Amino acid sequence: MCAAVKRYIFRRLLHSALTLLGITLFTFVLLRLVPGDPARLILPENAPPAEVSHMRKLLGLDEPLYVQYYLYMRDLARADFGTSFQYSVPAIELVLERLPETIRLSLSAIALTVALAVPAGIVAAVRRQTLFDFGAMLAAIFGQSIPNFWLGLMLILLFSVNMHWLPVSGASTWLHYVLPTITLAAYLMALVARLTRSSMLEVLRQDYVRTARAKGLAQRVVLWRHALKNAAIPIVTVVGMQIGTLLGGAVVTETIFNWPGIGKLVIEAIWRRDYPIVQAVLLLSAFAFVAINLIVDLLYTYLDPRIRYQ
Amino acid sequence: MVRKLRDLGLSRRGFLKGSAAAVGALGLGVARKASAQSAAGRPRPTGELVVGLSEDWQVLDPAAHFYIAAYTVHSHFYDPLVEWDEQGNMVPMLAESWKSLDDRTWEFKLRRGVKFHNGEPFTAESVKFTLERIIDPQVKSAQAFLWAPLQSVEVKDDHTAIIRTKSTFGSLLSTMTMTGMLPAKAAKEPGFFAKPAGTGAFRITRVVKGDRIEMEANTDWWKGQPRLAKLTFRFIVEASTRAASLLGGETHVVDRISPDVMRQIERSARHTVARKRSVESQIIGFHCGKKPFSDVRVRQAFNYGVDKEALVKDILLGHSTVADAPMAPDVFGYAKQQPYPYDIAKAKALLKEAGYADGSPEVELIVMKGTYIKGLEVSEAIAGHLAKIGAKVKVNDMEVARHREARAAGNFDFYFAGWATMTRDADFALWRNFHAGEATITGNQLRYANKDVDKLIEQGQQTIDPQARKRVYADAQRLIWRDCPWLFLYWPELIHGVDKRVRGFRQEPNNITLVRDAWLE
Amino acid sequence: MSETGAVGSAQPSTPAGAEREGRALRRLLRNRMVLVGGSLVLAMVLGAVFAPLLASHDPLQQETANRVKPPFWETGDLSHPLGTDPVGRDVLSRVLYGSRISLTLGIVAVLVSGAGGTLLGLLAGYYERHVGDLVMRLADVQLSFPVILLAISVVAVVGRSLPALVAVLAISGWVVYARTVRGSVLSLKEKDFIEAGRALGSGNLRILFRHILPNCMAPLLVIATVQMATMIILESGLSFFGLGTQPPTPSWGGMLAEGREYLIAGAWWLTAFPGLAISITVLGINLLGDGLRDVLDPQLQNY
Repeated sequence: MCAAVKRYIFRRLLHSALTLLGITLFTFVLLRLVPGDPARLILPENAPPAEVSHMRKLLGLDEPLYVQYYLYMRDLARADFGTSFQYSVPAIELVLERLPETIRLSLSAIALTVALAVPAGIVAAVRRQTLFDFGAMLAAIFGQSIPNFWLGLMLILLFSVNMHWLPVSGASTWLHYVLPTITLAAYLMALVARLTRSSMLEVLRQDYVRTARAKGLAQRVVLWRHALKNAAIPIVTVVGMQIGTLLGGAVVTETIFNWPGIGKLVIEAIWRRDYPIVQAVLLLSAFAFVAINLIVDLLYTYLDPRIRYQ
Repeated sequence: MVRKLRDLGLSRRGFLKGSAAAVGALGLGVARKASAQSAAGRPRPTGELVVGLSEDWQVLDPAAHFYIAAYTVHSHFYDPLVEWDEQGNMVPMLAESWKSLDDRTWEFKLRRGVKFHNGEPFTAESVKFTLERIIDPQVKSAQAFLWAPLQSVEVKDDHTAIIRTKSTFGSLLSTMTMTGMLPAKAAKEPGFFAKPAGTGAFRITRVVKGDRIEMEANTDWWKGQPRLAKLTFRFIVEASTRAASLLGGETHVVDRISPDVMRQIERSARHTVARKRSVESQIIGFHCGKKPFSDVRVRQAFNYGVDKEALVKDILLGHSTVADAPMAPDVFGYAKQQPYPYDIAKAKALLKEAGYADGSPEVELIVMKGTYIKGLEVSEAIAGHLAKIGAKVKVNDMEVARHREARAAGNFDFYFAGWATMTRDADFALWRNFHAGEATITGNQLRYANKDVDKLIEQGQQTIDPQARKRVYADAQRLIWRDCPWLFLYWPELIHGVDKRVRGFRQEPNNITLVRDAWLE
Repeated sequence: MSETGAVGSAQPSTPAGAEREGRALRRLLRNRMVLVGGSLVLAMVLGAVFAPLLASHDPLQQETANRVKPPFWETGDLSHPLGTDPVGRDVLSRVLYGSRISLTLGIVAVLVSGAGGTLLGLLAGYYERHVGDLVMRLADVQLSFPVILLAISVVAVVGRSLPALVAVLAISGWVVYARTVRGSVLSLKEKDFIEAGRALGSGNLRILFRHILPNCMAPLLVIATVQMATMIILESGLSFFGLGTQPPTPSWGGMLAEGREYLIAGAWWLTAFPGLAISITVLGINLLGDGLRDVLDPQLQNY
């Protein structure tokens, strides 16, 4: 690796760390400034002020903001993510308990996308303006036009309640994966299919592709060696950006299908103002996001050496 | 003889085979019968029941919560000292008998031979530990207010506990129905509440927080082993998914079914519904401390101006009862009042008297959509009714956290809410809602203050004699009804969706889903 | 590859330029996707504009005795052609008036996020070193922060309102404009005609807005079109969590969210019609966007 690339990586790492720090600070402050008191949500509805302030003290919320933040960062340095207000167990324990389920679901959604959407987009581009192209693109547009919770509920009604083919909720067997994966992946598949198609179309038009074809190289060689590599750039970029959407979509999908993942965990924690859980989940997902984007950027370098780094 | 049997069509070989089989069957039958009878003389626990709940129970510590779902789940692996039965009588559980020695002292004789799931014996020490930690300021207790009058618990001997209270604790027994007993030694260990040991019908096998809790039968349960071998509670928040899980066969009992969905469940050949009147009141609370609701005439006008019968008939499809008291009939101390009839003319007249012309008052009703069945629809319908008496009502639907903030801070005109009298005692229904006290102590969010009502409520707390308490509460309810700090609406019916194979399922009026004695056909 | 400006840039200064524009416009109108998509969108917009004339009822009028009634082909009652909602309001009227809310939200959110994102993207691309880094980090923060938490926070502070919704939608959408524009700028920066402009003495801002921005317009137009669809879907997603428009205001997302509990009760029409409205609108918008991309494609620079 040349020095310029090394410098670039170092700079990116530094920026990533700063981004993460910014996110934790922002989340921390936002949670405590937004209306909604976790103590009031543990105690019964009309708890008097004295009870509420006592509970806040037990939860560690009576200190000034900067003291709380200092304590939070100090604990974080020891890998202590705080104790959940609702469940009274370490937040990280809850997150690690539920994380695998969400990762499995997300991976299966991505796998489905890569398996179905990418080839569909490629074929649609190669066979432009044919029936396949129209059919695939129409299906893709529909995939982007349906709100995901509606899709999920209708799938449940049709395949679980009416036909009893598939289970309704939970994550025990592989059958449980079918409907949630489809629901989660619908939007992504549609997006990736269309993006692949347009990206491929553009690349296929390039001079060097035409040159290669003119030289007599087999169509397939042209495709695989030149076209795909360059078409991948925008796809990889967009998929990287969509990780955030995937987590957001997971929240809805997990709620509908009662999937025991962190999407459901974090939304319940937000409603209950369980700060430690929200902070832990956000930190983790920000970390994942930053890491994935770093990898994506590096892939960028590999795929298109024309992009320079200052 | 052999020839005779041959005449009957039996060959010798056939006869031998047949008799061997018969003896074998007889023998097996005897053996099976022996194993099927356990020490308690009941059939061996079989089957697995899955219950879908609408709320997350969150914690397994009896002191750390105030959630109906937590009571439901806890009732299956903890036992309290006393319990309400179906007829509304107090029956002994871990306490065999009790009496009050004087105004502030109670003596409980405890059941012998009861063991916790971890083997620790149940003694008066358990009672002392369990109750005293509820009021321990170091413990994250959500029920401290309920036990405020408690002073101490004395261990007279292994099976006698003396409970001393600072003031007369009239509702001690009712409050006690909600508290499961803890093992004094084990509960002090860190991590105990991740998988606690109680004395209950089931013992916990697996917990996935925020998702499910799995239990297996406690064959040594002092009441006799339960009929189910395995019991699982699942938290399914999305109403459609919950109902779908029942219809799809993944759960056998689900709670909080709305009346519209109920019809669909009844249509299923394999399912039915269970319905019961609850102790929950659906109400609208007025801010009695500022205009326009500081004027009792306006509050009464609103009570006259809402067609509660129409709400119950149209929106709740008849599955509720129009309220005729501030508490439901299954609550001890309930005293029936004269309901406010739907009278537009009277409402308008009262508003005019209070100085409000047509198009006023302009007020905002805050609701929390997901929390109460049809809460938003009822609120919108009520806004429609009130428009007819000349009031302009805007409905503001917000999340629970903001709703509670608004109520605590007094940033509301009136709010839609419910109150479930979980102890089934009038004190629980009235004290926190209507007692003004010093605002810092009781935190009556309605900012309602009536000294006579306060005195009556206090009297109710300080008497142990049930008849005297009833009289006092009757007076209090009359005053409250007349003052209407609430817009009294209705008592929603509890609707559970149930698989037809389930037997022995008990709906409690306070919405606890009790499947302790249930089994699957 | 042509290096001249794309369609939609400054006024054509030559007859040849005008003719090129004319050709492109004609191609636009002849493209099937643009026609179909455009008609669908037009139909929805007309429905929104003429809602008061087309709606049979006041969308806010309740009739609780008549609640959750099926569409006319099941009841024979033509007064509520598409049925009634859980408090007896007419579904057709609410879908029509709901289009106003949903379409307006989509357009305004796209304008706000598009303007903001484009500006940031231009700056990020042109001043690559510091401004660029800052903007990209900001983008990272925004993308990794879940929209739902942002939405709940905004609503918790200012309450449920249309401006709050627009703010949330706009904040969640600006990055795609910024990144695209930045990419365009990066690849255009070193091109000959930019060097020429600089040599002729044009200031940075002038270069930015007069030469670079027009070349970004085509992809921006396509993105904006697609984003409008995304905004409408996002609104329905926020309504699922109770963060959308406040009842009784009709909006497609809100109707979907409120009606979803009734799916299992058999009242399919409560979600089917707003869902269909959303799908048709989004379908139309996406077709339109695709058609635009196809037509503008040959003129597009490699971005």
